[in-house]
Amino acid sequence: MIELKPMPMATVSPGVPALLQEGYYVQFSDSWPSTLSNITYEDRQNGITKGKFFQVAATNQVTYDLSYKIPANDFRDIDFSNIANAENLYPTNPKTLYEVQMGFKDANLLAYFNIPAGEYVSRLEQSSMVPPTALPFSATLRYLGAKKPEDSPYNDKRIYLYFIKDMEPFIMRLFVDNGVDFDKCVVGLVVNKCYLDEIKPNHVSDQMKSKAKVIRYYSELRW
Amino acid sequence: MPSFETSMAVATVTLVTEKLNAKVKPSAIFVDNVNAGADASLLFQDVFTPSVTNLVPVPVLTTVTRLAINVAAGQMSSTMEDLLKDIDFIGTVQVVRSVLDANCLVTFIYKLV
Repeated sequence: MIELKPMPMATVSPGVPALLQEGYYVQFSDSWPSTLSNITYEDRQNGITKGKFFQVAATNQVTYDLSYKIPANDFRDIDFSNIANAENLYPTNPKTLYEVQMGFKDANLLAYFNIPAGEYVSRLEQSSMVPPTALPFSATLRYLGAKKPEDSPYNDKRIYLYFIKDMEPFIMRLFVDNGVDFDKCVVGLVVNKCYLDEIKPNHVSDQMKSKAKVIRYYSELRW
Repeated sequence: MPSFETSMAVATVTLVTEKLNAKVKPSAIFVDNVNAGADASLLFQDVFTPSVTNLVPVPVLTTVTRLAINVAAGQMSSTMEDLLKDIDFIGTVQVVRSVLDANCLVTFIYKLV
C-alpha cells in the first residue's frame, strides 16, 4: 500500500514502466479486511477472507500538485481520502485502483505517514521509538521515520501509494524543520488511474500470480 | 528566464505574483540609480498567507523582507546569481522604496523552482 522505491542499482534496456500498465496483474494480499468486498472475497471452504486477483483493463495518468506554506516547527496534516476538507485522492468507483506516485520539491520539510490517523507507518520496535506526535517535536525523534525531499524528488518520484474506494484515510504530516522562517512544501503527484477487471480464483495460474503486483494492507507494513 | 523592470515612482511595486506550486528564485537584480535625485534604499519582500497549520488555525497575511539593497544617487548596482542563489521567495515578490523616484529603475530576473 505504501512503497519507497530504492535508487536503481542497474539499468535495463528496454526500460521497464514505473507505473502499472494495461494488461498487468494486481493481487490484493489476504490481510485486507472483508468490509472491502470490492477487493476481497470469503473463501467459504477455509472460512477466511482472501484478496481478489485483477487484470488492469485501462489506465490514465493524472498529474496534480499540492502546496502548503508552513512556518518552522509547525506541521499540517494532509488527508488524502474523500472525507470533508480532505484532498479527495481516493477513487469513488469500486473497480478503480489509484496508484499514486509522490515526490517533493526541495524544501526544509519532513514527511510522516499515518494510516489510520495517529498511527505512524514507520517506527522501531522499542516503545518510545516513534515519531513525535505533539509540538514541540523532539529534536532527535523528529528524524525518525521521516521522509525528506531527497528521498523522493519531484522529478524522480519514488514514493508509491495505492488507494481504493472506502479505504481508511491515509494522512501525511508535513513538518517544516527549524532553520527557516517559513517554507513552501510542494507535493507532486501522478495519479495512475487503473480500471480493474476481476479474474476469478479458479482462472488464476501460478504464472499469473508470479507476475502480479501484490498490494499489501497497512497492517503488513507495520510489523 | 523571466524578468521584470520597473521604476520606483510608487513606493511598493509587485515584481512577481505568487505561483502556487513554485518558489521564486532571483537570478539577478539590477538597480539603476544613475539619474535619480536621492539614494535608493530598497527592500525586497516576500508576501504570502501561510496555510492552516497545527499551531495557526487562522493564518494572516505575512510580509518577510528577504533582501535589502542600498544604492547611492548617481550609482548603479548589479547583484548576480552567485549572491542570490540561496534566496527563495515563497509568495508574491514586491520591492519597496521609502523615497519615491521615477528615475530609479529596478530589474528583477528570476526562475520559478
